[in-house]
Formats: sequence, C-alpha cells, structure tokens
Amino acid sequence: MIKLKGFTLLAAETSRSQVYLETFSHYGLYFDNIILLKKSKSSNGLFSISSINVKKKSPDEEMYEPLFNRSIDQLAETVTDNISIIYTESIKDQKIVERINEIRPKFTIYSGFGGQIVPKILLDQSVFIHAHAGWLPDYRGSTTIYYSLINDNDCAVSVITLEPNIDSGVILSRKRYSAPNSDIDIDHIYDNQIRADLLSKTIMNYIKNGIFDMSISQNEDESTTYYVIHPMLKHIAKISLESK
Amino acid sequence: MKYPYSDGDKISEPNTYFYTEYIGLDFFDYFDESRNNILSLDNKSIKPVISNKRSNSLKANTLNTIDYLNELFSLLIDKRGVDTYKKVDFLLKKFEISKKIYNVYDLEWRPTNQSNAFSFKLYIGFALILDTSYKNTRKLNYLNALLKIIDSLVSVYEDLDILEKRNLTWLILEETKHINELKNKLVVSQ
Repeated sequence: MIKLKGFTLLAAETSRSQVYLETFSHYGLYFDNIILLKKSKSSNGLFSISSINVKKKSPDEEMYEPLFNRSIDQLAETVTDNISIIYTESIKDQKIVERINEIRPKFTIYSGFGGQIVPKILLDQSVFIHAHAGWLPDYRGSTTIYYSLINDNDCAVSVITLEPNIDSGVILSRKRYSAPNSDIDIDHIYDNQIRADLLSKTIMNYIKNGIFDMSISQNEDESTTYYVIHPMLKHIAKISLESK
Repeated sequence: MKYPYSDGDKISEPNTYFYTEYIGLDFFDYFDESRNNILSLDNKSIKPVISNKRSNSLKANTLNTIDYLNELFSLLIDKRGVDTYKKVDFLLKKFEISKKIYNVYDLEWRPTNQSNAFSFKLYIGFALILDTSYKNTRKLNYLNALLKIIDSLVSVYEDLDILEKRNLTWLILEETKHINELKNKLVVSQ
C-alpha cells in the first residue's frame, strides 16, 4: 500500500472515476480522503456498465486494464478509510466547498462530472490535479483523443494543475500512448485508462521523489483549442484504426 | 435508423454532440443519405457571398456580426493579415460554446439581444469562413464546426430562401470534398 498523505480524491459516479478507482486500487494507492459525488440518493453506488462495450486488450501490455466488476462504492473502500458522499449534480455545490475547507488537502485529484468547470473558490483551497487526454499545450479542449488519432495516429495524456482557464495549468507529466485497438470503447474505457495510467504513475513518482516529473508552464501561443468532436470525425478516427 | 443530428430545428435547439454514439460504417450511409436528400431537392449550387455593404449599427458600442464576417473573409482571401486565424478562432469559440451566432454583440462580445440569433445568412457566412480556413490550414477544428453548422442549416432547410438553399448546396459539396479527402488520407473505406 502507498499512503498518499495530503491527497484527496474528488470522484463522481462516472465511467472515468470507475476506471481511476480500479487503477488506483490495483497500484495500492491509499488516499487520506475521498469525496464521492452522486446525483441521487436512490443510487446504489453501482455505476451502470451494461451499456458499455467492455472490450479490452489495450496495445500497451504494461497498462492496467479495468475489469468493471466492482461498484464505485466498493472500489472507494479499497483506496481510503474516509469516504464523504455528497448528493449533487454540480461541482459548484456549497457542500463540496465546505468539505474541502474541512479537509484542506494539499492535493485534490479531480474526477468530477464531465463538462463542468471547477470554481475558483475550490481552486484557492487546494492544488487540483487533472489528467487531460491530449498532449499539452498542443491539444487543449474537448475530445482531443480523437483529434490526436486523426492528426498523429497516437494518443497522449498530460497531467496538469487545474487553473481557471481550461487546460492552461502547469504540466506535471506527459506521455504518448499507442492508438487503441479498433474494438476498444474509446469514450468510456481507453480514454479513461490512459488518463488513470499516467495519473497513477505521476502520483507514485511524486511520493517516491518528493517532486513531480516536470513543472512546465504553458505558452498560450503554442496551443490549439478543440471542441466536442462531430460524429463524422469521430467515426473517421475510429474506423481508421481498423486499417492500421 | 437515420442520421439524427439534423432532426428538428437545430438552430433554435442546437446539438451538444456530447458522447455521440459510435455505430460503425453504417454511420457514413446515414450521413450521406441526409446530405443527399438536400442535394436532390435543388441541383443548383451557388458559392455564398458575404455582403461588403457595411451595416449601420443601431447603437454605439455594438458590433454587427456581418461586418466582422466580411472583414474576416477579406483577411482570409488577402492571406497577409496578421492574427487572421486568431480572429477566426475567437468567433469559432463563441459559436462552439453557444452553437449560436447572434446578429449584434456588445464590445464584450455578449449578444445584445438573445432573440436576434436567427439570421441564416450569418450561419452561411460563417460556414464560408470555416470552409476557407480549413482549405488554407487543414486544421480539423474548422472542419468540425463546418459539419455542425451544416447539420443546423439542413435542419431548417424549408425556412431558407432560394439563394440560401443554393448556398447550402455549395457548402455541402465542399464538405463532401473535405470528408472524402480525409477518408482517403486515413484509408477509411466506405
């Protein structure tokens, strides 16, 4: 077990948090606290994966492959003994601010609901760390994994600090990954799998060395911002994998 | 199943395109069928022209989008403008966030009246800017937005006037060329 003193995980009932928790559990990472966001009290903590095409076999033999055989609640118990559940649909909920204010973590690993911007009031209380599925500063924004597949025939992850402007934080580590096999669900599995992989290794290196692998400020002029990919480009990106 | 992204009025109620479903090669057939339906209605194609007649701002400190599009198009054709693509990217961001283009903005780029979004000529003009930008740079974010604008224009086809319909035909033919080139480059078979 690797105790992560000063680290809190802010997770939500999403496929991304499911993959993160499985991967963190696999590597024995143990957080001081987990704040788990749930949309409703009727939730049983079991993220529905029945609609996800769970095909595995990533091209990287060393990368952990999620099994999707445990609920988020069950997984959370394997990586901390302090779980706070907050029922909310928004990262701006005051209850989250209050809980972070109580814990005062040095680092908060962020895996909230997709498409929401973390408010400055939270960013002021802790260093929020986020894994972005794109090589920064080249690929900012949304669904960059698909743009990277079309342009470069590979994928990448950048672990960064969260700042008020999207994907503009300090780069703590970066890694390029092979394009996935054509039968992998990219949205729910491969995208999350490569983020979880680099995030785990970045955290482990920090615990081992006391510093992050790198600390690179981004130059605004070097970046391109991408927006949610149109299904035509998404299909071209994915179908092109079959010919490679 | 059919292509769902041009159903209903997508200018008033735009698609979000979040987590769109992957359905494999059949997607290309559904997409082609939707676009070909439009091409079969009127086979005349007319390249859009952005009016270079400056509009008269009704209020001080406002910006007419048609003037901005006209300036951008001149810069793109001239190819000598500094920061031309920064200006295109700025409008691209406004469009991608709201999926709407308003007639008039204030100096902070906030729409002066949220109900004045529905001038089809603005959407057609911006689509021409995106098409030209993609041809000049091959940056995918321009093609991505062009696809989205054409989805929206197809959804309101019956409300377009005859010139706008023929402009849309021209835009679809351009889009088809770009998609086929990209498929060929990436060896994506139909």
